[in-house]
Order: sequence, then structure tokens, then C-alpha cells
Amino acid sequence: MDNVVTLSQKLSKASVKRYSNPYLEFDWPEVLSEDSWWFSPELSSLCGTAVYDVLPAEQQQRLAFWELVNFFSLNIHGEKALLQGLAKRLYSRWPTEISEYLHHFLGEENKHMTLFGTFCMRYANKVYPSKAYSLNENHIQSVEDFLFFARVVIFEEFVDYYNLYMAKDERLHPLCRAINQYHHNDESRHLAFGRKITQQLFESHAGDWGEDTVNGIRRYLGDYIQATWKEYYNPWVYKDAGFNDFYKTYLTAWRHESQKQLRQKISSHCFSFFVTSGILAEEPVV
Amino acid sequence: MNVLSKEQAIKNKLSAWVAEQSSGYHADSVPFDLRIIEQRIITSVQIMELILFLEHLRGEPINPLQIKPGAFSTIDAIYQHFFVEDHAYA
Repeated sequence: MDNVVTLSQKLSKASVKRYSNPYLEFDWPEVLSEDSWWFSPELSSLCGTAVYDVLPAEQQQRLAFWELVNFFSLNIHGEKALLQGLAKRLYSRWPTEISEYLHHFLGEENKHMTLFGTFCMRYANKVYPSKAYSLNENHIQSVEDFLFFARVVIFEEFVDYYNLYMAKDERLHPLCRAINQYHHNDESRHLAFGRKITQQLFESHAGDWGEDTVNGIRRYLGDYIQATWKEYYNPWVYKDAGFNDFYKTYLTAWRHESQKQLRQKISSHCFSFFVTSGILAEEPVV
Repeated sequence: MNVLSKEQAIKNKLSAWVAEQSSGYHADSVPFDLRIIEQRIITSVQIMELILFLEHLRGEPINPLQIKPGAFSTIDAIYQHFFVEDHAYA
């Protein structure tokens, strides 16, 4: 764990230096302008489908707004699980320096959720529920720790692609860009920590786990990746955006070749980490 | 449509859905009392897909946090939980 400790110390210093107060940094307009873009069209879950191509611009923008609400909602659900897992690991089995960084990690994630929740409740009056459902799989502690941080890396790698892309997208409303930029600023540290500890836990324990467990871990991560991506395709988004047959729209979106290519492209950085570190034998097809 | 035929229609749709997700079954060959989770016919990722399909059949959202343990154990159980019992899932 020495290299994780060293990185934790460095990241803690960076977190102190960049400590921020989102309550003071953001201006929340009373109402949002309806003719703005709220989600980059290229990242839309319908981009590339015949349905999307024939939509008038105003309906593409309406869809973009609800896609952003869904994106912020899935961030809230992912970060809720993250907070629980991080809190559970404070002052547990690892050196104190790691707990010190976990405090920053927790604090920063909580602030992100505040931003996402404020946006969703203020402008959409709801947070979309997550469809994730756990079948209560039990693992030994070392596997549980490893899977927790591997999930963190997967979840954050995907959202960070969207954050970075949308933060730079000059077509988007300034509030949307600012929230995405704010999230990205902290996520780069969280990802550095997540990758390091995930790799460290795998290298320390994989030899003891045995082939069956490692294969089980690989299946689990493949399933988790699929489940994570599914959250980006929400029939209720299409309903709110005015689509009549929203379940069929969902199936069309999820199965469309251009969306498969988009998912693969966004996942490639994440998959490269898992394959080069030996955790996954090959890149999953999403 | 009477109550029995509505029940049969929904269970048939669920049976077809389960068959579509897994090899080894035809649309009308999945027994309603088959332990689909226990026998790993449906995985946890597919549960997510199943929730969306159930929402489609019900026409309203389901909050997974309010789903009781065992709700997905068989097609009979799914029907009972999501189409008969008066749970406030949404």
C-alpha cells in the first residue's frame, strides 16, 4: 500500500489547495431558457438513430434537457453508493493517510451531489430513480474492497468523459458547462486514486483468490459495465421529451449500432486500464 | 378481457421475455413456477432490463428501492408482486 499512501498524501494536498464552496460559486436562474442546449447532441442516447435525425431542433433541445436530468440523476445514484462505500472504509484496514484522503473524497462527492440534486429538483422537480437492483452477492473482504474501487473507476471514467466533453461544449448553457467543469475538476483526483488502489488491491490479492474467483470477478465487472451503461438509456426520459412509444424508443436507442460505437469509444480509456493492469482479460463489448 | 385472461396474457409476455434473454427456452416453454434467479436463467444485469419491461407493461415507473426480496423469483411471483399486490412501487 506504500504507493497508495504516497498518492493519497499528494491528492490530499491538492484537495486542500482547491477546496471550493459550490453554495457560493453557482448562480441558479429562476427559470431556464427553453431554446438552449443542455446536453451535447453527439452524446445523446438517440444520436445516430433515424428517430433523432428527423426531430425538429426544438425537440432535440427538449430531449437534451431531460438527458441532462437523467445524467445528473445517475450521478446522484452512483455517488450515493460511493459515499456509503467510502464511509465504510474510513479508519478500517489501511494506513491513516488513506483515510485522510477518503475524507476529501467524501466531502467532494457530497458537494457534487448537492449540485446535481439542486439542478434536478429546481428545474425538473425530480430525480429519476435508478434501475439498478442487487441480488445480494456476498464476497470475502478483499474481493469486496477490490470490487468497490473497480466500480468507482468504471462509474467515474464514464461520467468524466461526459463532464469534460460538455464543459468544453460552447453550445451548452453556461450553467450546464459550469457544473460539468466543477465535477471534472475533482474527478481527475478521484480517478487517480481509484485506479491506483484498484490496481494495488488486485496485485496484492489476485494470487490468493484463485482462478475461479478471478473469473467470477471478471464476469461481475462485465455485468457492472453493462448495468452502468443501461442507466444512460431511460425510457422515462423519452416520455418526458414527448415521445409516444418511449419503451420502443429505448430499445431502438440501446440496440442501435451508432450507440454501440459511442459506448465503446467512451469506454475505451477505462477498458484500457482494466486490460493493461491484468484485471480484465479482454475489452468487453458494450 | 376477464381477470384470468389478463393474468394469462401478462404471464405469457413475461415468459416470452425470459425466453428471449436466455438460450434453452422457447417463448411458450418457460414454466411460471421456474426459479429464474436461483437457476441463474436471469442475471442481475437482466433484472434491470426486466424492471424496464415491467414498467412498460404497467405503464408507470417502478422504484427498485421498494421491491421486496423474492419479487423476481418466478414468473408467478413477478405477476403477484407487480400486477396484483397493491404496492406503491412508483
